[in-house]
Amino acid sequence: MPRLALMIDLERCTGCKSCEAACKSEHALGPTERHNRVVWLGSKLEENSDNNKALDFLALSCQHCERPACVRACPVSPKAISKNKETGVVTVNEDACVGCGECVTACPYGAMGFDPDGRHAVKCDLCSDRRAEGSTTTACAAVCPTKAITFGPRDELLNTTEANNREMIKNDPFLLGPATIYLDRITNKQEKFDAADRNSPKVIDSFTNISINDTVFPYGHDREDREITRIESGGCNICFNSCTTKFHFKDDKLVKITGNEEDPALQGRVCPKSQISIQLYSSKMRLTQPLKRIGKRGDNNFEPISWDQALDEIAQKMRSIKKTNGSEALGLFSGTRTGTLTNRGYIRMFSKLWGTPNFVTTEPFCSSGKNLAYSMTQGYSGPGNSYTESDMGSAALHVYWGDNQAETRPVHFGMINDWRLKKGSRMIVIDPRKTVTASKADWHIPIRPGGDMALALAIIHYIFEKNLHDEVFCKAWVLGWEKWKSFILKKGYTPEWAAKFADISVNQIYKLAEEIAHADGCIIYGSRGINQHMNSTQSNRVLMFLAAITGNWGRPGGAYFNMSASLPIDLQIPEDKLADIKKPKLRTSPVGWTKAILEGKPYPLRSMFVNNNPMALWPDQSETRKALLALDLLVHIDIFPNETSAFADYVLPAATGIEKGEVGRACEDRRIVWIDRMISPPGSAKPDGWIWIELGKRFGFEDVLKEEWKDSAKFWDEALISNIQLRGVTQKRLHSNPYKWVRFPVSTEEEPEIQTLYLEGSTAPGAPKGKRFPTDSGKLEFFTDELEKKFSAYGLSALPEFYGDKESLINMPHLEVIDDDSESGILGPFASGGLSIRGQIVSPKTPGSNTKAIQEGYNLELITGRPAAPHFHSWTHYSWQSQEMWPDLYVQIHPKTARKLGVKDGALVLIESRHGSIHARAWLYSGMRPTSVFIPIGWGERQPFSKWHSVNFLTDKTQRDPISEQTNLKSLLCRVKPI
Amino acid sequence: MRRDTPKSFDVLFQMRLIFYSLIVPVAVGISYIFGTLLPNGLSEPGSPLMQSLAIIGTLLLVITFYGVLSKRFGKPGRIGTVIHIISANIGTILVIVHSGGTIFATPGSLIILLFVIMLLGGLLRIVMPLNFSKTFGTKLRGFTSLEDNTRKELRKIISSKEDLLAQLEPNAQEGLFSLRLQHWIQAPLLAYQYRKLEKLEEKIIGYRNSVKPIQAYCRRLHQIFSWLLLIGITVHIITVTFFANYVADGRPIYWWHIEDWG
Repeated sequence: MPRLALMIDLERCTGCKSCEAACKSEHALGPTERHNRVVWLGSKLEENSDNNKALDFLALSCQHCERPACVRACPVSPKAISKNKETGVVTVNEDACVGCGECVTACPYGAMGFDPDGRHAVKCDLCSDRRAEGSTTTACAAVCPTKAITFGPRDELLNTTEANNREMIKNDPFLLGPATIYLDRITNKQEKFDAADRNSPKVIDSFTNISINDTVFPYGHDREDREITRIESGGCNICFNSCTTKFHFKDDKLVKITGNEEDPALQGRVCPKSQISIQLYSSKMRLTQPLKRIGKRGDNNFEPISWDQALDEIAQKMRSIKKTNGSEALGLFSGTRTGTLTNRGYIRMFSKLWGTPNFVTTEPFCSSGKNLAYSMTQGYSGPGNSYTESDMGSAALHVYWGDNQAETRPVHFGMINDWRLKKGSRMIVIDPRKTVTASKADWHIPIRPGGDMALALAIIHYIFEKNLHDEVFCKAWVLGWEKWKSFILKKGYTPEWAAKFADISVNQIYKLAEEIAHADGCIIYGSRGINQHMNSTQSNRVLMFLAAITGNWGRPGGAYFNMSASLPIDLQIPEDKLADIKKPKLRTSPVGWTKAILEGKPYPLRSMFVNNNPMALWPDQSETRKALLALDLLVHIDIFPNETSAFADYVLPAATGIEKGEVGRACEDRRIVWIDRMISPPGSAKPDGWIWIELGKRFGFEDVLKEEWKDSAKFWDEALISNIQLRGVTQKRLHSNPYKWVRFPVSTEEEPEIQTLYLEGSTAPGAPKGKRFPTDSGKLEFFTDELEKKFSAYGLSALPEFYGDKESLINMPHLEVIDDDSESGILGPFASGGLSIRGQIVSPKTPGSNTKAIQEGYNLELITGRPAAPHFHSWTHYSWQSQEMWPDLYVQIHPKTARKLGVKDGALVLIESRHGSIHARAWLYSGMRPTSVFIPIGWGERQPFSKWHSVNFLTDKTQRDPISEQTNLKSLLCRVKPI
Repeated sequence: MRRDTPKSFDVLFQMRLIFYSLIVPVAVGISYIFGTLLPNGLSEPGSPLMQSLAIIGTLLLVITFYGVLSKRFGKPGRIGTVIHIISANIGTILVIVHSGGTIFATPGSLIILLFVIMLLGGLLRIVMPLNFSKTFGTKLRGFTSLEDNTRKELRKIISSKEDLLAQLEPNAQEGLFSLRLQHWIQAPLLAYQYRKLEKLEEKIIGYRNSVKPIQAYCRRLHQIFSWLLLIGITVHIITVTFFANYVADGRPIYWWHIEDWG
């Protein structure tokens, strides 16, 4: 047997900690008990500038040394730690270990683990149990989303290293002969990795308030208790990417969740969230029975009641409110947790039968600007490319623009990065901070928050001026491009003009424009960094125009790729069953509903069903809380108690993922993943579908919201896939392969999947023959008379004129909202049947409120966004393991700025905006723009482990894109104070 | 079966701390109660009852060394640890009861020493496990570079160790070997030389300097103080048994003794 080892590639590792999750899951390790850990490394804090050492990751586990210091330090005889002569694997005999900790002290790699509850050493043995059961690889290597970890005979790994001309990190200063191979960065060849130059941020892995008592089966249990007797395939239910997974059971008990290596696309890759989601199903914190409020709202006092009592009482109150205020006085809000079947099916059906237009999801916070922009330009709200090596993998240039894919969708980034490294493609990241994605890029451009549209306009100006556009494509397939060209040139959106708004040098803009124009296949990835601004729709359109004029549309390896969670579901409800809705939708964004609740304007909204956590999620928490407290009826449906449930009149316990049967949202790759119901929900918790069907029965909706549709698979087949794009995605087809996904559109069960949509010579799915794109013209549409008419309702032009956000450190043209939410506004021309606000572009010469704010000390730009990979919104905060990885709310701040403010790494600070204040821990990070700070979303003050106020206490509900009602969450002024 | 008791670590942690911090006061309390309840004469440290308790207590404290020694002689380590803790706790209580709670007399220094040992033991058992587990990934000296001269020095040390090992235990592998009690008994000079080289290597690697001093030296101090206690108890026994006159210092010698020298 040869010497075995792990090989870890620093170029690929994104610090997602999926390997940590896999290791704990494989070995049933509890809190603080580790065999491995991904160490996040920044630059030394005294180095102020943004540099190549801002962010790296060291996946650390036992090095299986030839001269192991731990073995020599062990005082037990015979030694409790031993080394296999053949494989070189160093193992600990946990029964013989006396827990003296000498091995922990001795190991210079800090790679010796310890079980604080069992009081003995623990360590990586390269998954000897797993290998003995026939596995050919370790748990960590099997799941790694980026293929950064490889396991095998050391000699073979060394040969690969040599064959690929990769340099290794020197990890043997003390002549211990470590087996583990670390491959150094490629993109930073000039400086060799040396941990002495690095600093580990204090906010990570600080082990807050987690005890062994927080764990339940399978953690801490022996291997025989976890012996797998059956495996079922499905998908992860946490975020909107639904990575394919395998659910491993011992009889009826869920033992672990892994990736699905049979999936040809993901090949077993999976992020930590999917694995940790096992803790959702077995959590002691789950809501298990309907609760009714007793005492005052917000006191969080409830009594358990039966489902019948709960639904009867809720129905009675709803009737009473309807009688007084009309059916439109009911608001329905749902989000990711609720699931696609409910968001797109059950609730939507209920709202149409009941008669309220006021049903919204989280889109106005995430993606409504992008959806509208796609619909306007392409005729369908989502990109047409796919995650395959011959499509997206073939791009010569990947430009991540306001998209931190490595942290938010690590598995898909892993695929792109893998293809990119194989092909030698370039990667550019445009982001105000050096995100994990940016840390992997060939070039990071730290743009000013809100400067994206100016930069994109300048690139287009440059491309047109230099005639670098794809004229053949433009002439054949773009409607209004010449008008657009004239507009751009006339407006003078030159690189020189854009440089001050984007805070990027003119030469950099030239270079970027040249790279994009000359790349044989460029994918521009846009995401929340583009969407969450007051110019959301127009910024997205400009980036789409950029992709289109360079011919990067309807081709493999070329696209504007802003992920889309939308599924083209058409609900079939008989006309005579639809309720009469007399009033328009209040606002597209639910934050626009607060005036309707508090002041009854434009009309009263008195009751709400919320299916996630608006008391953390909605911008402007002060106003949100006032509003929700003023409701006559607040029903909260969720899986964990949170801020919102504490204020609810009724709390209904929901089921999730494999407890109910669900469809995975195909946001990244048009792949629809089916998740079978595999286990029962805890206590008397029920699937959302069951709740809406049962509530519907109280109002006589059972002939439409049918009893048999409690079976989610039946509901999918019978109610949701009548659209030509989904007609072939039947249960039969979804279950015909071992990974249970189908890439839509497919109109029949037999129709083959399409890798790249809108290719030249093809007809768009569902469009009349010959129409390449699903617009009326069959072309990409930059300008039409109809668009112009619609935009004029807002006081804007169809051809995007530059404006930024209201709050910024420089005077830039920005949008000021004209209509207050209590006014009727206009009937939104884009948002179907809803009232919309109007805005006006304010000249940069007009002194705005920014000057005053800056004078008051609000001199930092606040960016909010997703935290690292182990967290997603609020629900991972109920998992002890996500919490162990990322316990505290943090604010990333540049060391130079922090020093001026007297803020130290890890210190508690106060962050104030003009809209509210919160506390967080400081993370001194040289990858941050010195004038910006970043605070992640997801934390809440009633979470079980670390209680922090939501970042939305700092955000402002009035700063919305009038066209899509998308809220600005990326550019707000704030100040930071040490405490 | 769950490997570890699924009780709250925090609660257990608190309970153990309370338990440890109460041992000495409880023992002092017991000795006070004994003093008031027992007839005059019996409550004195040298009374037959108290002397008997002292003997049992001392034996138990000696047994605590079993835990240290057993793991060096191939006995199951964890049983030794359990015996170590139980005998230390009971032995401490008995010895304090024997002392009558007196800590200001000369033998009282042994009680103070015992108290420090107990504290360090508690720290090792209760606080340190969490520290050990939190050490994972916090020291990255293995990923730093070392000066060539230091590496040369290290190479020389390893080579010297290999030479010594050829005499000390010819079949052993330097990279996996560490000294055991048998080496100190069989070849003390070689063992001492080997240990010196080990110390030199440890100094270069960082070893105890790579963690907080409390984590690095807690166990060492516990061991040193324990050996000091053993010596102190031995001296105390010899003094009261053979130098009774010296101990009595003019008072009547009421305890069992062999000689009244001094």
